[in-house]
Amino acid sequence: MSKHALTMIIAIWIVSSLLFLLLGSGGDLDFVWRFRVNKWLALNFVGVSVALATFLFQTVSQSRVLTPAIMGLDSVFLLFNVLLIGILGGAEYAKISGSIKFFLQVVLMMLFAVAVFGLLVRRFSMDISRLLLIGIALGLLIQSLVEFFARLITPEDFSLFQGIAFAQFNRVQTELLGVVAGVLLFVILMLWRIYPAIDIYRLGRNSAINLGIPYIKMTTNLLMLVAILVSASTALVGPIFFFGLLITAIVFALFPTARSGSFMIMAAFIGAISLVGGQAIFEHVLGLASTLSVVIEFIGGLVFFMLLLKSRKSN
Amino acid sequence: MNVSVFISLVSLCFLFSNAAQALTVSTFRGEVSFPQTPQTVVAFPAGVIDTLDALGVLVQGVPENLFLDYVDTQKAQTVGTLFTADIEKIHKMSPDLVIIGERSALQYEALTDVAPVIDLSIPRGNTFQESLKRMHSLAKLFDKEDKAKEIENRLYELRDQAKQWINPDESVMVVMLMGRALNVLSSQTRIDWFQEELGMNLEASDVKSLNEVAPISYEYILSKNPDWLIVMDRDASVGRSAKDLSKEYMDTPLIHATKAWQKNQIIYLNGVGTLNSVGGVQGIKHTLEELIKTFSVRINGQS
Amino acid sequence: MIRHTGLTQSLLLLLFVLCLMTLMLASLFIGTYDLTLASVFENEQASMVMLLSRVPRTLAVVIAGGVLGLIGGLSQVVLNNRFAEPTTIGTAQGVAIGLLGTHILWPESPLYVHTLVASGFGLLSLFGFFSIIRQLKLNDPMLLPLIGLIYSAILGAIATFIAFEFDLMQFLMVWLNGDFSTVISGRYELIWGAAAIAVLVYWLANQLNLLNLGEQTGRALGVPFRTLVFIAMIMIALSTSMVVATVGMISFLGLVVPNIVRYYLGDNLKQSLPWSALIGACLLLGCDMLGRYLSNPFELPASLVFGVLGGCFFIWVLYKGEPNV
Repeated sequence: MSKHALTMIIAIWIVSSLLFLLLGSGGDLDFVWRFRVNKWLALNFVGVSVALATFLFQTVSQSRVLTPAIMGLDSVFLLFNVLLIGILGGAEYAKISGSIKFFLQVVLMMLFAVAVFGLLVRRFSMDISRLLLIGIALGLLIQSLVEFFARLITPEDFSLFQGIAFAQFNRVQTELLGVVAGVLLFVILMLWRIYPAIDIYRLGRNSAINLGIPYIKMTTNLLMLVAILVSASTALVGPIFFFGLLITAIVFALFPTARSGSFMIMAAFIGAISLVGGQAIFEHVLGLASTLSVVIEFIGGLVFFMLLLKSRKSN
Repeated sequence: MNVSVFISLVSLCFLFSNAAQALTVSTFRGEVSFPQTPQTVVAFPAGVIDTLDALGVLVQGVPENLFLDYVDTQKAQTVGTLFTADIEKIHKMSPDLVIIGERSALQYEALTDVAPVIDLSIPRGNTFQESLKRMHSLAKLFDKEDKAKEIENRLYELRDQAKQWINPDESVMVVMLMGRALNVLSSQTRIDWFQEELGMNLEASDVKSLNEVAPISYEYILSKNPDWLIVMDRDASVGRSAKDLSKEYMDTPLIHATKAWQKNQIIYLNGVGTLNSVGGVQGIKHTLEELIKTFSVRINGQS
Repeated sequence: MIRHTGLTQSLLLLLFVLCLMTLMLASLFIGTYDLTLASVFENEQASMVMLLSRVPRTLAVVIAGGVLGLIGGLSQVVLNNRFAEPTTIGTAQGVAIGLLGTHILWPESPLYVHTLVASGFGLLSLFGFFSIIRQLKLNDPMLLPLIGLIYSAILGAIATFIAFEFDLMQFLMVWLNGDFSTVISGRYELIWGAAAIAVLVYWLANQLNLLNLGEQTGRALGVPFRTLVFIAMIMIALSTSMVVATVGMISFLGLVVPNIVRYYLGDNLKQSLPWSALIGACLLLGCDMLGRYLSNPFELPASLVFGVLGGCFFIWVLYKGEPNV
């Protein structure tokens, strides 16, 4: 990775942040401070979480087509919410305070991750693709329950559920933002300590073991880091992890030879850019129509294809 | 900050200037007091916009894609969608009151920072009565109590008229079309008042509480064989899609064999009043008028 | 991994065919309306229910299950990825856009036009996919499924955008949710097209097997690799969109059934495809029947029952099998 590329990406990040923070504010800094700074922080935290979680998950799964969304954590999140809406009714559900829901959701998702992946890794560390198939099966099992309950609730309750099923930064609460920041900091510190080992881990199971990496322990640890990132971000804003696929695909298209450390830094910035820039477009261009993830998946997908075409021409 | 605290603080300030005549209204989240009639109002629920329109209150801010064809919201600004309120825009409007509820109930916490918010979700159980209650709360707040009384009388009149046509011995099944799926609406849903106020003998009152909308097959309709069949198209009522497909879905030999079809007692009801504008008094009025018209025509046509 | 000999395999196949037959027969007598063998012959209404509702429903389930199982197996070979399924190349998302489009722009058209246009969009989305991969050099085998996923995401974003704008999210979800409760005569016939394509796939299985060689080896041996991929994908897209547009998606099936079959039978399509189809049909029919039985007189969507039971079963199978090194 060249210094030049990193400078470029940081510049894009700064520009998109400025656009998000200042566009349509009329230069009223009080206004920006009151309404946009918190949201901007949340967008950055979640963007970085998505990028790191996806990179780590793809490292463990040795596959570039998977996202942490496949672990079924967001299905657990949705099931919890759709059941609560169905049982209480939408309006009663809306009365529950956001922080209580946040902590319940984090606890549930983490319990699920520990129970399922903690257990499976021990058994299937030699056969990661089987482990992933089990993960997919579990995720789809819960997903079909979600879809079932979602069709039983009345149209008005469904609208409420629809507001939860797509990530939203409008409702982020300041107190919870601190929690997520803490979680992210913890993960980054962990990664700072182990990132050289990740390069060795990526060589594959046998080489890694030969080079002295405690493979099972490291797999478990990496999956738990992913679960922590996914749980905290999903509980804060809703399911958003699909687009991690786009981030790693774009970083890979830009820097096919990057090592883990620089890959993660790039991915983190691109994750932050996607969310901040996506939200800027969502708010200022689309006027809040549809959702943020629609914007990101559409534009991110196009960017990915453009990069692919460009690399073909330069070849 | 808690709204009611905020609002009572504000009202406290007014207490000194304006010889205390605070308006207290009951909301879904408890009683809330207002120092005076709000001037600038933003409302999200279609039912509230419907009722305010009926009372003659002008709403300055409404959500995008409201799909209420009978209310003119041309003059109002759009303030985001049901899913994402445009908080910055609402802040700039600095409204005296923001009303949320039902489909937009999740916006509560985010909006409390910018304006006084009340949650006017309609509780479960007898939607007709709850809607009238909500209308009176709004009327009190906006000083339109005479108009509200008038509307209430008219609705009771229509209700009694509708009731005349309904024979409690004949069974009624309410079917909601959604996508390509048929669903039966039980008496636990927003049509609860068809049973409680109009005396309809609704099928599927035994649906379990979570199964508010129970998926069914054509065979279900045939084997229950109701005397009356009321069909609503969810997608045409809630969304902008132009055509009600219920007629097409009911036109099959399996339905032709039912009592309801043979006695020409299928009613294709416009669902806007019950499914979209939940608790809106105009929606209820339209639903009642439609029911009276179709029931009377069908019954008179026979005798 | 045990490879069965030819004879035991044929016997096993026969057993499964018999099992499917029995299930189909039983399926004719499960439902809300009270039907007995006698009443079908004596009572006019009962025979109508049998002919217009039970028979079409049973056939639709069998075809959907069979087609999705078979097409899933084919997609995994074409995309060279065990996790691939028909939705991976954007077909279901294309169908969704088509459904929304006709529903919003042309609502007066009869139902069969909706389904036809929707499956047309499924095919169209495939041509979009092709025009993209034609522009690219695919020297990395991981790239094809990745492009498919991202392409699906773009189409999915368009569909979600439209559905949000018109408040049709629940509509879309219900339509795409595999469910046979409203299948009656006159509403499902498009699915026979998918059945015809499935037969064609089996007929071409020996040719399609060459895809297993991989692009480089295949080309070196003179296989018209790109043409084969093209034909295979058209068949995948057409049959998937016909199924999705008429009865919805059972996403799990196309993914896991072929994986289980391959686990026992290996990569030969001629051998594995009939098994994928047969097992897919049996399982889906069993699930639909269970759904009808459990929540009688109401319905449980087959995709839900399949998701839960199939999920549990596959987890068990995957978990039990000795971890292979």
